Amino acid sequence: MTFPADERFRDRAVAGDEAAFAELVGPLVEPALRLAYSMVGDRSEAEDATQEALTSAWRKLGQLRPGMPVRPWFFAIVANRCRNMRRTRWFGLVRLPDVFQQAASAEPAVENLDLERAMARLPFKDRQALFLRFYLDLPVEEVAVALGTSTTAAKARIYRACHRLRPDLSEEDR
Amino acid sequence: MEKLRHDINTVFNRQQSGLGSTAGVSDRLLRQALASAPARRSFAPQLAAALATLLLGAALAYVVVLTHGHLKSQNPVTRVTPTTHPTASATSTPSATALAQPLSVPASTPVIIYFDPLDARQVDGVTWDGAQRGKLSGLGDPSSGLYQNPEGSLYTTFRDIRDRSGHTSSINVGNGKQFGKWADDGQHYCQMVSRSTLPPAGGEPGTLRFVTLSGAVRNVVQVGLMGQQFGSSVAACSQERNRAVVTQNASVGTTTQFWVVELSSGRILWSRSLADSPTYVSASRDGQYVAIPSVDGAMTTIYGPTGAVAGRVHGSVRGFSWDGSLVVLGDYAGARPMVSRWRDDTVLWTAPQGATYSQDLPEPGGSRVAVAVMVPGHPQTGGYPTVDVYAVSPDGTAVQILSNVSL
Repeated sequence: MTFPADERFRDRAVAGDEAAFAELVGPLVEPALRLAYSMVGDRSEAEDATQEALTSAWRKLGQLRPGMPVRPWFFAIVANRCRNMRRTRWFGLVRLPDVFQQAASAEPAVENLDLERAMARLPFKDRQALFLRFYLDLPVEEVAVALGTSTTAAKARIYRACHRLRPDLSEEDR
Repeated sequence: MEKLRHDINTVFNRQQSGLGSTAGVSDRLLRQALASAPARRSFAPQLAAALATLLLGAALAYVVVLTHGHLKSQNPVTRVTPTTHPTASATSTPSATALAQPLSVPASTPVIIYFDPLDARQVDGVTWDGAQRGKLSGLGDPSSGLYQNPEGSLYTTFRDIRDRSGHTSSINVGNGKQFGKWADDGQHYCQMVSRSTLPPAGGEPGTLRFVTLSGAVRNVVQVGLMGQQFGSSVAACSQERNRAVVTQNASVGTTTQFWVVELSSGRILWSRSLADSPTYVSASRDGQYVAIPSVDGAMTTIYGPTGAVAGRVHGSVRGFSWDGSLVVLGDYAGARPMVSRWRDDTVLWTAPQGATYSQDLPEPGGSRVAVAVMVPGHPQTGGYPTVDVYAVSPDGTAVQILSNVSL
């Protein structure tokens, strides 16, 4: 599967056209913010990470090869910013399961309580893969680019995470 | 697996509810990110500019030497290079300072709206002959750019719609993703929407709707798909001719299919799939003509009101004049923009050397077409490309009415 990038806007953006850059990544900012929030659990930090990723994307746009998809490339930058923030800032003090327990605007249904706890215990990258695949509805190929892995590895990660959450998943569900 | 997927998304949804409203956050983050980033240009234009500077310096030095050596002994000779058709001519001097006087023309006089070259927070207008220009009172939020109706009597900032005095006439009732296309009467617009604010990657059905400035919305027909990195958009919207042209666009911006729709009934008048050879499709303002360039951009086929081939023209068509008789040719690969009469494939005007296509605008009810071109002499320094604007007449004469502005 190939991912056609928006070559027209890309070329103009690479040449320094900020409006073209806005056309190119504008629709991706909100999902990127959601991705960042899923990783850092704090709105202002998520906005910081997204904004820094946008600045970084603007600077690195020339590295986006013709034909390379914009969306997973940009999401990969966002994810990297979030990982760096977790490593270098006060996020070292925050336990990852806390991220899941901060959203309290709606009480979870009883049947989802166990699932929520199980998701909180998943390895970070597994949860990230589920978020990209299921919540942002990215195809596996784009999940792989965003995670910096092969398609096979991304697919295996998603399946492994699902299997941990629902051990009774059959092989046919792959 | 579907049950698990649903349950997982329920958990993610609950987690994401802690994020709160994201309205307007995309624009804000983009603005802040670009404001904090240095202006960046590709290496090639920098190299070209550096070479041009060196060559210009060398040429100037050479001219100085020649002038000192020969000026007193020789009469200067003006060498005229023959041209086969008119080229750019400038009869109006674009302003060098921010405009101070308000635009003073009747509301019925069409104008072209632009950002003042020296004050990006100021919106100005210029008449089609370039004779009168002045500032407009209203501002709005120009961060997303301006998009005027054909007469320039109204413009949208993509959040609301304002008149020349800056009064808000209406709000953009879209889903926040795109404004759509002004109708040719300047009082309506056509818009593509879909159920989700953020459509899924695989897409969901789009709906063409016809919106009046009072806010009345009429769903015309469900057509095309809206997705995260692709979507449907409106290429033409005509109250006068009761038709619209909707294009299905791939993520690269090329059109893979289009539909010509009767606005009153939603009936598809004719359509064409371009899935085998996606290309950039444009339509005349009334939807009577649709131009389909070849994939290499060398030729464009123009289809008439019923979908029959009406003509072919060399080059890649980007837009039409109001009556559909003239086409603007250009691409983003560096070809010099031109204006042609497509029925006999005659080039009427060619932009100056080094100019590249940016935008075009038909004169409402008139015969001229405005062509905005980017030129090396006016590099972009702000958020939008800076352009020179020429008003080209059917006889090929052109008047440069704006210089170094953002539209």
